[in-house]
Amino acid sequence: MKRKSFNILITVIIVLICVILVYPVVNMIMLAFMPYKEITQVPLPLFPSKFTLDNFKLIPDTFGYFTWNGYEISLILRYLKNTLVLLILSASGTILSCTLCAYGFSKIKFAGRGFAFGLVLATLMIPSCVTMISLYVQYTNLGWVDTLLPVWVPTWFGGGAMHIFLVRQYMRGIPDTLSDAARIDGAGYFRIYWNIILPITKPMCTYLLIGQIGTTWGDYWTPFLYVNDRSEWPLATALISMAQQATDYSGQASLGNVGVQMAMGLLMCTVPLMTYILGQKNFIENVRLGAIKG
Amino acid sequence: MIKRKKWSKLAVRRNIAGWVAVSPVIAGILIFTGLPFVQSFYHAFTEFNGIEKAKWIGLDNFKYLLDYDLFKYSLGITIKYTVITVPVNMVLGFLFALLFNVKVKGIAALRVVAYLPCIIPGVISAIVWKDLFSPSANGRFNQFLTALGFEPFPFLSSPDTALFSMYLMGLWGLGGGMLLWISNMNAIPDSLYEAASIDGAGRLRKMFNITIPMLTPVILYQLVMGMVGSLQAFGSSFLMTKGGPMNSTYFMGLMIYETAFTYMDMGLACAMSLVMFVMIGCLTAIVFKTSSWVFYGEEQ
Repeated sequence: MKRKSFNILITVIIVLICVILVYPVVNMIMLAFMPYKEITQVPLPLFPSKFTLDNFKLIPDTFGYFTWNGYEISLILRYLKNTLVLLILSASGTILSCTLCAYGFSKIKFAGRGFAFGLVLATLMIPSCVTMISLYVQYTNLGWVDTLLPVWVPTWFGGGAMHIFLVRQYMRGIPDTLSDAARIDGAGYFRIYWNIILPITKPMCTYLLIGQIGTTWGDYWTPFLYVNDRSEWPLATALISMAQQATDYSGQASLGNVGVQMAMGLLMCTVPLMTYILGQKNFIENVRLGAIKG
Repeated sequence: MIKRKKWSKLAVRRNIAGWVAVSPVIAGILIFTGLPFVQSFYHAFTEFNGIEKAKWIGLDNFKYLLDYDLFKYSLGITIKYTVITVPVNMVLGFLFALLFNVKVKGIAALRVVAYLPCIIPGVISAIVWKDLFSPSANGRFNQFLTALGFEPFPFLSSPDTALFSMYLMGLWGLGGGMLLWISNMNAIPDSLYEAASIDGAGRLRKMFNITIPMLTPVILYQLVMGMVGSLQAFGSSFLMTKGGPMNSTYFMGLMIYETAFTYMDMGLACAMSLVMFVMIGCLTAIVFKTSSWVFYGEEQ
């Protein structure tokens, strides 16, 4: 009996915490669907009297348009295109460079392996604010600052020390018998990587992909810092001015309209939310299974 | 003789293959981390605006920083922010983990809800929180405070409360740390708890003599990552307050960025980033040097 009332008390506390944590999101949803008349009302109502899509319809007007082949197209589509291009390029770069490097560290006993691995881990110690200024100068000298190159090229040469470490751990669990058999059949190191190790590492690749989608989708800072040409910016960076102007009311179709801001925010949340749900299912099961099998 | 020659040929091939496999990453480290790091180190001792050739001025940048009040102030609030958020978030995250680890109905769904704020992109949480914090009559939090009979709170609009509001907003991401605690708590073997029960240990006893000691590697990880992260943190101040009001949220990261890219004084900014690097390096070293309290399991 005592145990039961204890559980009820705990549940109440947990639910209360969840309500507090989720309230900002609920508020975002309510404002996103609220008619403009009610958003400017004092006091601001907790719920919209009716759910409208007006705020969503105003998004293209808020961001403006560009002309392409005589068509008027919303800038938001251009930002979205930039984001998608970045996603594809940086995800493939991260996955390839990270798995290839982890393969070298886990399956090939080459001279200087410990030293090279130490070098990779040492990059964790260098804070990004130390390198950002010189990187900007480098990119300017290379003529990259008007393109998206500074954002995705490094992913083809990196993949992140933490990721390399994780994938290496995973590959170490793959028994050598497979690759030994292939070697006897005459396969070279890179054939073994491509045809044997990479397919087995697929759950880790999914994990990297999901991580990279989240990172690229939400990263407003790297493009803001290194890309001068605004028309090359991805969505997240294009939203910076929206965040900075929040609550300065200046008309319906403006960045200051909270309703439009929340509608945009809600749309921006859909992609990370979907990858999170997919990742939960896919990643946890696969990675566990893979680890057991390995 | 022949056999030995053949072996070494294989070894050469293996070495080449190994280095080729890791070469993209090693090249990337040299180009995108190593070289800029050395350059920043050099530029810290120069007058440099990013366009003209850097001029060597020795320690002048550092001497300037010693008398630069805004720099010292910024360093102060960054340290203050770190000293408060890191322990508070760790302790609260741990308490959350204890709560959310109780086996009640629907706990998995509730954990997802608690983690939800962590998957929302930074720009969007800035938009959401700036609106909640709004000092106008339409700010949600102030609406609630007035309804409950309290005075309106200025949140981000007053220098006295802006930093506090940032802590408050930081608590929204507690779910991430919580999940880390939970997954490590569940990795502790049940046999330890069973043995303790047989010896007559109570809940609290188990917590202090089993759970916490077994979690010390997580504590160390969170401590180091939290420190490094919050010393460099400036995202929310860049997005919401731009360092204001009256520089009360002017974090070091923001100051370095503005010195380099708004005032184009890249030499001075590099000197600042070097101070930061040394600070982070020393703190991490101290934590690792004094980490004898960390228990890594009984590996022989």
